[in-house]
Amino acid sequence: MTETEFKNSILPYSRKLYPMLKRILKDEEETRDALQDLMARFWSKRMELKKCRNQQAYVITIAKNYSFDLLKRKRNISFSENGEKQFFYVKAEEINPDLKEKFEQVHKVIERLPEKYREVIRLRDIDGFSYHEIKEMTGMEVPNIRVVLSRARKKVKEEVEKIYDYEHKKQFAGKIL
Amino acid sequence: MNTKNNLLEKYYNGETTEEEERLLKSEILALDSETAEKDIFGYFENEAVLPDDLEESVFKSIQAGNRKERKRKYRIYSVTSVAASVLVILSIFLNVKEQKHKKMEDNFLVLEEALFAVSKSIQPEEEKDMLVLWVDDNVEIIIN
Repeated sequence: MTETEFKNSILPYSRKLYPMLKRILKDEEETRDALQDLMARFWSKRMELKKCRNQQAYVITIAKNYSFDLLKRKRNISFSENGEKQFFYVKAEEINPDLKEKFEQVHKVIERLPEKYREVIRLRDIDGFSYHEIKEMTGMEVPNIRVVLSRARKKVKEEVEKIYDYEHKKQFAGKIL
Repeated sequence: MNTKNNLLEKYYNGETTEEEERLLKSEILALDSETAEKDIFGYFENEAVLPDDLEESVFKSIQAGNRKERKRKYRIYSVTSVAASVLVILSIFLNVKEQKHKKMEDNFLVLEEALFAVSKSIQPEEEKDMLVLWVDDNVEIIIN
């Protein structure tokens, strides 16, 4: 595989893998390092990748295993750090507090979804993986992925609307008091 | 508006293509009115923010990594080659020394053997073992 072929077929996965890795690592610097490490692996395997008939499956499988390893390591390290509750994704200075608050609510809603739902909706709506890529990632069949995704999306909307009604009422109550 | 609603319905049914989702998301985010979708899509978009030069910087680091690896390999080679040549020289040196030693030992051995032979020849012949059965003033019975 030449440099150009690599840049055209493998490197663009960075755009999908970056958000995915960042969800695990919760730190931009670490995410970039991890992505570089992962891409360096693909680069060192570029001859095999060229011969590979299902390049996408190959890339996704390696990325999946890599992220599982990261997850395992991360869990071991930061189990006591209570990292889950912290909200690293939003750059606080750049986003107005109202919006930040809303994003946090959406984040929590997704966090509370059943694992499969959570995984599928993140892979699709945040990372932008195709259905086939999600199939490689999760081992689920495409029709099933669509069903799970549909339910997850509906559930998120429902929950978010509940929160906003709730907040609305709270604000209203605050005014009365 | 109609297409947007259609798309939204498709979206909630898990039937939209990637292209349609991009279109839908950008349309919703451009709206003024506040809806659950706007916050949800805003969140998705915010989660997927990439550093500007992501791909380029990743590729640069790969190339830099390759160079470093090659450099390191050279260094490893040079270290091992120095070690190997030291070993070769040392072994030759030791071998020569040992051979010298061996030669001296050989000489000594030959000399020792010669001396032994000489001393043996000088010695009077040893008496052979014999069984003395009887000895008195007149008779000696000896079995040789």
